[in-house]
Amino acid sequence: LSLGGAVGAIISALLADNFPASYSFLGTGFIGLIMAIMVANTSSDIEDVGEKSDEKDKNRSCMADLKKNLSEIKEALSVPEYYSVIIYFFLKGFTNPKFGTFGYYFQTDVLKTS
Amino acid sequence: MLNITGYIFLLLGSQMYQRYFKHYELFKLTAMGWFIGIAMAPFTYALIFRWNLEWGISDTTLMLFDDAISEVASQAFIFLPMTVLYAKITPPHIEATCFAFLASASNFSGIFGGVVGAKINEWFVGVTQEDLSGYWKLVTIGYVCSTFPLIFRYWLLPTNADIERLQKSMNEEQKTNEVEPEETKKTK
Repeated sequence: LSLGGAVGAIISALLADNFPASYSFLGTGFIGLIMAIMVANTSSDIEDVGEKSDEKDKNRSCMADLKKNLSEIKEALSVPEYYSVIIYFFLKGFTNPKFGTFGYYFQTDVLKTS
Repeated sequence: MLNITGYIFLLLGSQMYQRYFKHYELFKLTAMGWFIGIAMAPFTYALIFRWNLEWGISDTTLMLFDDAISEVASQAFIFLPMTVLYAKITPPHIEATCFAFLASASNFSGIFGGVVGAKINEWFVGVTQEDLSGYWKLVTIGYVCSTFPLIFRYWLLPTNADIERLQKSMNEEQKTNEVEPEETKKTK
């Protein structure tokens, strides 16, 4: 993840420095298209790795899937260790304000770096 | 440059967690992450009040240093331990849904923190893109508020013993569920 990020950062820096901004947007759009094509061609059989799902599972409707997922979440939320972590996240979000956007403006407008 | 340094130190943070911290209690790691964040506060204030220029340190050098330490701390003490925790406490057979739910709750927490930050600024501080003179107040509020999660982490974050106990009970439950259908088949 970090290696990919570092390579991506170098490429984007070179693109931004040496080419017009439209090239960067074009590149981003093109990579998005490639990813969309790859995802569209992904076989649904990979979901069966480890355990075999029957035909009924494969042909389930979206609503049935949603119901199944909700019941799974309900089951997980009955575990104290699980729901206490969820509560922790909510409390953390509520009590821990983030000021990243202001920091970004400070970097670009005051320090003149990015 | 900042991004590249950040990613390189992200890798270093991952290695540090893998080698030295993976057996630590989660609440201890979050405290260590908080402590490093607080220890970096003087550098942030130096950058805001431009003391670094008086000391002869360039903005870029200080930002790179700050970014590098922050990345290592967030990766080794917060992100990785939390991800490992998700994987450990997720019940068997429903891993995908539950892991996704935990990750989305964590992301929601970050987004909600941004909303709370924006509201605090709007109501009490009033920093704008044109006037960043009160930015230090926001940073101070951020540091003060970062101590709150430390208070409730003791009650809410499971210890290693809790996780081990939970995993044992989940494994036993899974074994029972696997044995039961076979016995039903035999009786039939």
